Order: sequence, then C-alpha cells, then structure tokens
Amino acid sequence: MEETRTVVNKQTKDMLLGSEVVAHAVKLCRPHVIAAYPITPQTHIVETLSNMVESGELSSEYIKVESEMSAIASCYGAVAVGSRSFTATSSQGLAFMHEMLHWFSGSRFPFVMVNANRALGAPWSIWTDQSDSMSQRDTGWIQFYCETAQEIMDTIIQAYWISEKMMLPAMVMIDGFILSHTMEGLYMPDQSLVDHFLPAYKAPYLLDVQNPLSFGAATTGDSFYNFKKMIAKTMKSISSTLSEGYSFFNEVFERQYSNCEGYRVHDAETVLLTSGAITGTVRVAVDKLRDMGMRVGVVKLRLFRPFPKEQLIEVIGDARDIIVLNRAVSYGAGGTLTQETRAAFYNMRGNVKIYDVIISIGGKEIYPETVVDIVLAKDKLSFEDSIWL
Amino acid sequence: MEAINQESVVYPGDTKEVPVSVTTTDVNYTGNWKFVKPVLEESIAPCKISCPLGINISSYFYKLSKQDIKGALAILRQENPLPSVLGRVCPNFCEKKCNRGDFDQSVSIGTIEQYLGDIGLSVPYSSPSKWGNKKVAVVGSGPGGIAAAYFLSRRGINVTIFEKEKSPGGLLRYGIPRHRLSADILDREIENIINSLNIELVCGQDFESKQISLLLKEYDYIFCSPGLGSSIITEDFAGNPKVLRGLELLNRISKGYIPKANYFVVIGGGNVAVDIARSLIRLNKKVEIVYRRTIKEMPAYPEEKKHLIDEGISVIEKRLISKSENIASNLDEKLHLIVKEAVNIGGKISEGMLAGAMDVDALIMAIGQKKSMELPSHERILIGGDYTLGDSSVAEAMASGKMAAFNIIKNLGINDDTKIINPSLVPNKTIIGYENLRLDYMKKSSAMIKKEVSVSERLKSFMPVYEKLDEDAIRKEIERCFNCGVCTGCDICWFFCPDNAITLKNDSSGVKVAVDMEHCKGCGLCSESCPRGIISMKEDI
Repeated sequence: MEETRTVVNKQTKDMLLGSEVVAHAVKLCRPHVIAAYPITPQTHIVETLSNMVESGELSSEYIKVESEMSAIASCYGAVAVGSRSFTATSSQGLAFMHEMLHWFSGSRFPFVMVNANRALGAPWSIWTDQSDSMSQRDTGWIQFYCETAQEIMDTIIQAYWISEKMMLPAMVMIDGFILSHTMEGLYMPDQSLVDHFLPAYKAPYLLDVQNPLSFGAATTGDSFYNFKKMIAKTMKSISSTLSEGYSFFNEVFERQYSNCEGYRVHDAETVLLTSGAITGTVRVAVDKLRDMGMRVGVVKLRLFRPFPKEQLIEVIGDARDIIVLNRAVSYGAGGTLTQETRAAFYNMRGNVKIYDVIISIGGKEIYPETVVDIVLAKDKLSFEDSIWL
Repeated sequence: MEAINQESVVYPGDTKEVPVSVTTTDVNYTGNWKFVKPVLEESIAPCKISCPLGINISSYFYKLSKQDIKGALAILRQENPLPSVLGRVCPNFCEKKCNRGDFDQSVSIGTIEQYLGDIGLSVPYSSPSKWGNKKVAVVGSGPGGIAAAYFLSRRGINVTIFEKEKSPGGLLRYGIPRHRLSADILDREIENIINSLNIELVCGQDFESKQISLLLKEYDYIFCSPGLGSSIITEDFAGNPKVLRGLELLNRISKGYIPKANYFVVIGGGNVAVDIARSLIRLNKKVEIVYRRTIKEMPAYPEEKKHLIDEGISVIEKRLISKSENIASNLDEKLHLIVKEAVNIGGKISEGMLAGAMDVDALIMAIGQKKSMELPSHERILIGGDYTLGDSSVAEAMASGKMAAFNIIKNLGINDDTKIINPSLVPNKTIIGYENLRLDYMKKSSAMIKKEVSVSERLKSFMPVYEKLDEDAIRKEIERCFNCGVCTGCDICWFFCPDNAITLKNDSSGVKVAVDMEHCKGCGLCSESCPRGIISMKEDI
C-alpha cells in the first residue's frame, strides 16, 4: 500500500520498533490484565507495556511473575473472571507454557499472546526461526504470522476479535529481531477506530463465588471426545469468519487482509510458499526471477492455524511447482510447513510437485540470491527428500 | 470420580462447547485418600515450662491481644496470686526461654505481667464457696505462705495465716527494698487477696517449733513457709558489734531505721548484698562491695547488677576481707579491715597475698542465709519456701506454696479439676520449640525497654526505679508475643488448605479451627504453615 498522506482516517503515521508496535496495539485493545515475564527478543514488549501502565496511559493490572508458566497461568485466571488478557513470550518461554496452551484451548478461553519467533535450544540461540510456534501447532490455538509492522498492529486487533468470537486462544507471531528490533513506518489507528471494531469482551462463564462453577473438571471419554470435536468444528469455521472480519476491518481501517496473500502469482508456474518477514526477501527474488523471464510468484501464509486449505489452493492457482520455504522442521518427517501443504493438497489437486526446502534455522541468513538459486536449480532438486541448503 | 457430562453443562447462547460444570465437588470424598491426618492441639509454650508457677503466658497474651483484659487476668490469676509483685521482682525465667529470643529479642513478659497485675489490683476476687469445714493454718505470710493461702482459699478451704511481723509479705516487705517494690503495690495486692478471699490474717504472732505442733489440734493441715531468716556470719566476725548482718539490716531499714554509721563495706555478691548497698546510698551513706569473684560472676540478678553500677556503687572484685584488726567497740573508732587477694584455683577460693587495708564504719555480711528455727515433722505439716529450697526466688517460693496447697487439696479429697500447675506433669503435650514455629509472617522488632528515672533523681529516696509504663509500648509488646502453642484463629491454615477442608469454629476448648476429615487429603499444608506449630500430622489408621 503506498500512502503518502500522514493521516488516514484517524490513523497517524509513525515509526516504531516492532516490539513497541505490539505494546501499542495491545494498549488499543484495552486489556484488563497483563502478565509479564521477559525473554529475548520480546522483552521490549512487556517493558513498553510496563511504562504505559506506570505513566497511567494504560490502565491494566500488570502482574510481574517469576516464569512464563506463571505468566500464562495468571492470564488463565484473569480470563476465567472475564478479563481480556495479554502476555508475550518466545521460544524457551513458549515451550515452558506448553501445558497451559492445552488448558487454554481446552477451556475455550479467548486470549491473545504474541510470540517473537526464536529458535529453541540446544544449542542455545536467540535468533529467529519458526520452530517454537510451529511445534505448538497441535495445541488448538489460532496462529497468525506477521510480515510487517503494520501487520503486527492490525493482526493483534484481529486476533482479539476472532479469538473472542470463536472462544479459542490466538497466537500472533513476529520474527525475533527482524521485526521485534527493527523500526518501520506504520499507521497507528485512533482508539475510537479500535473500539468500533473490537467490542468489550463479554465472557459467557465467569469464576464467581455467587454462582460457583468448575472449569475444566475431570471428564470421561464420551464427554471429552465431544468437547474436542467441537473445537475441531469451530476451527473449521474460523477461516470464513475471518474473511467476514477482514471486510469489516477494511471498512474501519481501510486495509484489506486475507489469510494467504499472493504476489505475482496470477500466471505463475512456480510458487514459493513462505510466512513471516522473509516474504520481503522472497519478493525481491521473485522480481529478479520474473526479470529473467520465469513465471514465479510467492504466497505468504498469514494464517497457519487453522490451515487455510481452500484459500491456499485458490491463491496458488494453476502453478505446478510449489517450493515451500521452511523455517521449522519436524525431525523425522521434514519441514513443518511442507507437511501441512502436502496434506492440504492431498486429493484436492493433482499434478503438483511440492518441494521441501529448509531455508533457515536458528537465524541463518537468507539472501534473495539464495532464493533465486533454489528456483533456478529446481529441476535438479529431489522432491522426495528435504532440501537442506 | 465425579465427572461432568453434557447434561450438567449450562447452555447460555451458543457456548455449549465450553467445559463448565455446575455440580458440586463435595461428593468427591477425597478424605479417603489420606494416610496421615492433621491433629490440632494446643501445646505448651517454653515460657510456661520455664515459669516456676507454670503461668499460661502465651494464652493470656493472646487474650490481651484481643483486648480481653478480664480473660487475660483470669488466666494469669489461675496460676499466679501476685502478678504486680512478680512483674517487678521476678528474674523472668520465661524471658530466657522465649522463642522470640531466637528471632529478634525476647518478649518483655515481666513488664506485661506488671501491667496486667496492676490492673488487677482494683479487681477483687469473687468470693469462693466454702467446701466443707476444712481449716488450714499457714505459718508465714511471705510469697510461699500467700501462695498456699491463695490456692487453698480459692478452693473453699478456711485459711488462717500467722505472721510474726506487724504486716504481711515476708521478704517482699522486709527484704526487698522499696525502690524495687513499693509498699503501695505490695499492700494493695496482698489486701485484695486477703479481703476478697476471706483469709484470716493474724500478724505479730511468732511461733516456736512446738507451738506449731499444737496447731495440729485445731487445723486439718499446716503449711509452714518461715523463710531462712538468718544471715551466715563467719567465725572471725561473730561477736563484733560493727559487723552487721545484711538480711537483718534490710529488715530494720524497711521499718524506717537509718544507721548512724557512714562508710559501709558489704561482703557478698547476691541480691541481699546489692539490695543493702543500694538501700544505703539512698540513705546518703558511702558504700562499697567487696566480692571474692568478678562482677560477672555475682549471683545477683543482672538487672540489679546493672542498676548497682549505674548508681555508682563500686565493686571491688576478687578480694577477701580476711579479718578485722580491731574490735572497735566504740562508735567513733573505725573498723580496720585486712584485704587479701582472692585466689581462684579450680573454682575454689582461698586467701592469697595481702592486698591492702580498709578503715570503715561498719562491715555488712551478705554471704548467705541459714535457718533460724527447726520446724517439727508431721504428716499434716507441709513445708515450703526458702526453708526447703535454700535461698531462692519469689516465684519458686510461691510455686512451693502452690504445690503444697494442691497436695493438701488432694489429701482432703476435694476433686480438683483445674489444670495441673506443674507442666512437667502434663502427659503427652509437646513443647513448642523455635523450630516448630513458622515465622515467615512475623516482622522483626526490638523488645520494650522500661524507662528508668534518672540516677540523680532516684537516689533521693526509695522511689521506684522505673517510670510509669508507656501504654503504646505495652500494646506493641503484647503483639510481639508469638502465642506459641495457642490457636489465635489467624486463618493461615484455612487460607492454604487446597481442599477447602478447614472451617473456623469458636468453642470452649480454645482451638479455633476444625478439619473436615471427609475432604482432607492429608497434604500437611496446614501443619507446615501454622505459625504457632499446633498442627501436627499423625498416622491415619
């Protein structure tokens, strides 16, 4: 979107670090409770939020806890009494929360958490890849991946909207350092716009001593099965509900979103599939390849859970080769995104080759040239094996 | 295990997929899972054990913290007839064992006892109903005799006290000087007991041994607490008119006697020596103490030694007065004393080298006491106080009188359902040690210190050394008591119980919490968290 106006419909252009953008977005969503525990590279998020709370700019309960497990457990308690809540984490912290991730979705509690994508040790790493969030894909959370600062701002607002509408928790991913520690220009919406789009959270059930309830009590086979079946059912309707949401969002904020966004895919024979900030690098590579006369495009996956199967297949169109650029691996089965993509295409469209490329793990640098080379060498690549560069 | 099913879920709107249950978990008898169970019982605080009278200190402090003065006084009076006196003169055995001492500083228990006792001075005892027509004679109205008379008459026995002096009190009046215990306090405390308990007091009645035996005809039992009464005096100094006896001199000074001599030397290191020295400087005399060991080793109470030094009385350490060189029969002649080094070999003192001489007006012996009479032996004559204990403390003398009273009560066949006074006789009760307490909830603070009248001011007369107690400081000090072994209903166990199995109840047994055994899993959190250590985990068979 090319805007030269500094103000668009009550939105001010500004330039902030990705982590600061998260804090501002969260503030606009008016959370009641924020639990905070630091971890590189998300710490600025909770620090900025703490400054906002201290200055009075943001009136939330700010709970300093001693671990990520406590952070998310505190948030669980907060949501149980009807609060809109928030916390942020990354890699090791997200892993520490694992048990609670299941509790959240199993309880059908709406929630938004920002995860700054970072590799999981060992060996120790603070640099970005998607192994942390992708290895939590079975927990029943909605997952979004952001490419730009603007997307961070907008996705968090959308995440609260869909999470509270569908009663499932949502994770919003930002690339560690690449987004969290980089300044970018974006439009900051006015509070009135956000209030218009995102209503106050109304919980159907509350922890209330006057009306005692148990949440998530012991359940035998049949009940358990049914509750989980309903989660699966809900997940199925999220994609379409989000599309309605994006239309409404566009009305209010004048920015149109979708679950998968294509770039130069309309006549592409080869499509690169990616998510997160590397999309920018890949677009440069696509332009280079197009200049060389190749019909190449790139599809960016914004929504990862639920996996937007239909929309992805539609955007990819008639392309015959899909090169999936993975930044997370399920060891013993190949790139995570590749598996998801292959599963999506099964019995849906024949005649497509899906390549499994592990492009970067633990912050290994990605250059447009690398992407160009992969595409050029495509025919020599085996698509039965994972391709580690 | 109680599990939810679809039917029991509430269905507002379209949220029937939320796993919420409205049924109660009460039907889940988690109590069946336990193999240990919490047992709540109030236990004994170390202060009570160390007190010769076994006063339930932590209990009365608890009552005070709840502003229940009446309740506190009742608990105190259950074991101690003379709290105003003891609050002032007791060496506070309790404070040495106070668990708070391991935390920051011991609670100033004696000070609070004084505070409460003073309130009690104007609170009469309710007249006890007589039990049959039993009579007991008490010989001696010192602490031992008063205690015996008190416990006997509270049980409904007719008591007559025979006292040889003109007024009651024994050493409380005729030994301990007024600056330590004022006559006003002593009079009021004893009068309250004598009057409201209908005790017959006969003063000016001195008995010889065989006269005591005659009392047996009229009285069912006799309790004798005549004290020791006689100062020990060494052969060298016997018969010398300028050599005085400490105990006897204290007696005379208490009756208003002012000696004519001016320069006194006192031999001895106990409370009598210190008392006589401090009395004499208040009469504007010059006085020095000569002691065979060091000040540190003087057996007088530490508080008394501190005042002794503050009041400017010098103690000549490690010296013996070996003899006087003259008899000094007339008043103007000085008594010439030979001073020798006191050589300490393996604890045994012997005379060493010559260390000088002193010319004094009088020498006071305060090196110990001995019996001044022999009491008859009979199964219906019980004896207590210094006579049996050797020179001892007021509290211990009172405890012996109390013990004798309870023995008499038992022998008379009266059913005594009051709590046993000697805590060591109480079976199966734990003593709360410092390690049993959970003190995370307590803040450190320093103990209350009584304000002293300035030395220059107080030496002008026999006025009390301490000023009136500060009410604010009293309040704070009461709060410092941990109430070891007493349930104060602090709710900490209730707060931590994960099964919601603790409820709060108020009943006469004093324990404030009850455990719902059907739901208690035996996790032990209540036991671990109890600040006072009164919950223990026992095997649940």
